[in-house]
Amino acid sequence: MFFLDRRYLPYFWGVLGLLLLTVCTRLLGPFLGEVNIALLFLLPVLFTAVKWGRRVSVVIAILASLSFDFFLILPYGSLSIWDMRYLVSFLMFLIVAWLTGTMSQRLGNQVKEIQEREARMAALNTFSQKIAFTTDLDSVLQTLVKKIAEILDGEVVVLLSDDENHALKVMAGTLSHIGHQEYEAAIWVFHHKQAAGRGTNHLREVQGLYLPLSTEQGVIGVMGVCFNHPGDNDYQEYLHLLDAFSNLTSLAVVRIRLWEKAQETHLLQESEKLYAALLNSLSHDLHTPLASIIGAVTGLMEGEELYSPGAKKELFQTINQESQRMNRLVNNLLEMTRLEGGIVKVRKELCDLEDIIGVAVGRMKDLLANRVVSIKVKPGLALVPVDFVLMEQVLVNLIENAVKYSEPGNKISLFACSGDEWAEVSVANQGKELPNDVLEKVFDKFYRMDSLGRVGGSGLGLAICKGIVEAHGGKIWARNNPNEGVTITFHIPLNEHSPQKLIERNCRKDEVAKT
Amino acid sequence: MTAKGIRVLIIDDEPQIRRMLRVALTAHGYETGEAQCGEAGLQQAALFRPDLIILDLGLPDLDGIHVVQALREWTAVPILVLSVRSHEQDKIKALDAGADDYLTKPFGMGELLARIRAALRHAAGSTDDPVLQFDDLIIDLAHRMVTVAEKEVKLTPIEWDILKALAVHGGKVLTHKQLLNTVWGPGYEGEMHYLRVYVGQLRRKVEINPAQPSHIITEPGVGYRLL
Repeated sequence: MFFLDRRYLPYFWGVLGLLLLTVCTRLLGPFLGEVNIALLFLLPVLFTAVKWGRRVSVVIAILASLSFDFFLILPYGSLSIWDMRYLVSFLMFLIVAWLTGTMSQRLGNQVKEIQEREARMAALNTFSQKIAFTTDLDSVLQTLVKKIAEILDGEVVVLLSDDENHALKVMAGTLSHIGHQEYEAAIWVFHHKQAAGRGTNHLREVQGLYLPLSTEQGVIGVMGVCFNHPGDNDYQEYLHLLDAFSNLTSLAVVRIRLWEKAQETHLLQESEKLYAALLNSLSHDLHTPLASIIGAVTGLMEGEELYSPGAKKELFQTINQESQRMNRLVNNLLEMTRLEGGIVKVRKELCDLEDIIGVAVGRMKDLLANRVVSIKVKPGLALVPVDFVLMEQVLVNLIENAVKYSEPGNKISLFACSGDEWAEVSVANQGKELPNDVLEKVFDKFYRMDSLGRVGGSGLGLAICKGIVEAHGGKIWARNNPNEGVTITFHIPLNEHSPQKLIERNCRKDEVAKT
Repeated sequence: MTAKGIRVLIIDDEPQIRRMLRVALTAHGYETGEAQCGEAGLQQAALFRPDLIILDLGLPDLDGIHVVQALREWTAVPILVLSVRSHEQDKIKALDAGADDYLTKPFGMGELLARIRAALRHAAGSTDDPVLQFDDLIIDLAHRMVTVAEKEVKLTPIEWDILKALAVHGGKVLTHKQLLNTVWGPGYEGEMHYLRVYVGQLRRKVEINPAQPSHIITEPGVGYRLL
């Protein structure tokens, strides 16, 4: 119905109010006096102006003065105005209506605008808090660009400069019209450190609006905005917003870059620490045997006649043993370097584990002189696809380890068997046990049990074993024996496609641990 | 066999190695000559007329394999190559090209002298003797009989072929390829697992302690030798 339509509701209320007022004043007229009645008629005008704005209040103002004239001014019931003073009142009504209406409308608009702005800022604030902990530059920029585009209703692009040659690269977002001109504008902004583009003083022909992303260290990039509905916007007002956005972006970029640098520095420090540890360790392990060798040799050279044959023999043995030790260390270092460099080529051939064990034991014959060696190989052992030379190295290192951590007269046992999918080799020694938390750490590079006393060696041996075994697709682990000492066992898959699960105990009928 | 007067040519670019070899070999009665590089080595081989050549594979000017090949074009003089660890392929190539044996640096003097003796023995053609003895292992080629510590050992045909091939080589190394070729024939050169299985069986019959053999020695990555 006509007067229930939303737009006409204010008029309806205004008219209703007027009617009420007219009736009241007619009835109470004599008590109030004409001045007061006129003033009373201002009320609906003011009210409608404040509540509904200029247009409504002007209409009501006209109706009010008509009503005033018609019902309350002599002669009653007619619209003649025979006193010029009432014309003034009429004008006053209109002016009040107009001014108040305008002002209240403006105020209303401002309030609405401020509320909108506040809402956007609140959204921006929550958003910026959300990205405060993200450390991936790409994802932060993508999210930022999306959010800003949403809030501004347009397309956003962020370009950052490459540190070295200051070329600008699009890091997030796209401007669908980003042609050569747009890119040029971005570069201009980058170098002149001022905003440019549509709505600014520079490069007005360009589609988008470009802002420099500035930080304390200078301009790090450019943010470009292309509004979807360019006509409607007041750029000046948006510039504040855009400033806020560009600051947010700059801060995010700077923060993430600083974080990345901190990570790099941290890693560098860690690798320097490791490097220093390595050098210390090597220095000791190389200089110590050399000291024995040079000492023995120079001793023999300078005063050969002073030494009895027995003494000479001892010195010669020292020279030999220490040289062999250095040879093993050099081999280990080379192997470690190869493993680290990824240039270890595993040439798998079907090999006899008993053969490999035999060769390793033979090579370590001198070192094993003071130990009791027991080798148990399960009959019918399958041939295993391994690299002979590398596997020999593994066994040599395991034997060296077993000798190091045992006493003269102790037993060292080697054991080999195979199942359906795995072949298993163990090296066990009597001696001190390892604390449980160390059982895994012994395979780390340069790990050495200082608490057991320095026993020499670079701490590389077991790490190399692990590297080689794993390069074959196998597993290696250490455990403490029930009686005493430690057993190190490794598995090698018998075929390429064995699943990585541990073999059942069916392989270990005669416990190696019976040392 | 005395070493008196036997001429050994040392081809190595390292002066310390040359000195060490010269002193040791001279002390053992050999006469030595030296060359610092491949080219000089080839010249000296013709001029010095050695009975044995020790050749380092890591020469600066020529590839050691080329030197072996060049030498083999005109002489059958025994050649021992020196190489470093983990260069097994180089050793195999050198052996295939005609070298007699190899040594891995660093090596012991005893090892060197043993291999020199083995190479010279072979060259002197002492394989005419049908009975070959390696300590407690006696191989009678004429009667196809093997005894270990005076007890006869029965071998299958293939085991016999392998043992014979190694024995006839008299302490020199045989590459896997050479063994497979000799025993099974060409075309079997890739069938490593055959060798492994049969050598294992052979050891169990012939060695006192098969897990720590003293006769049939494995040369990792290269082949086998009989001592």
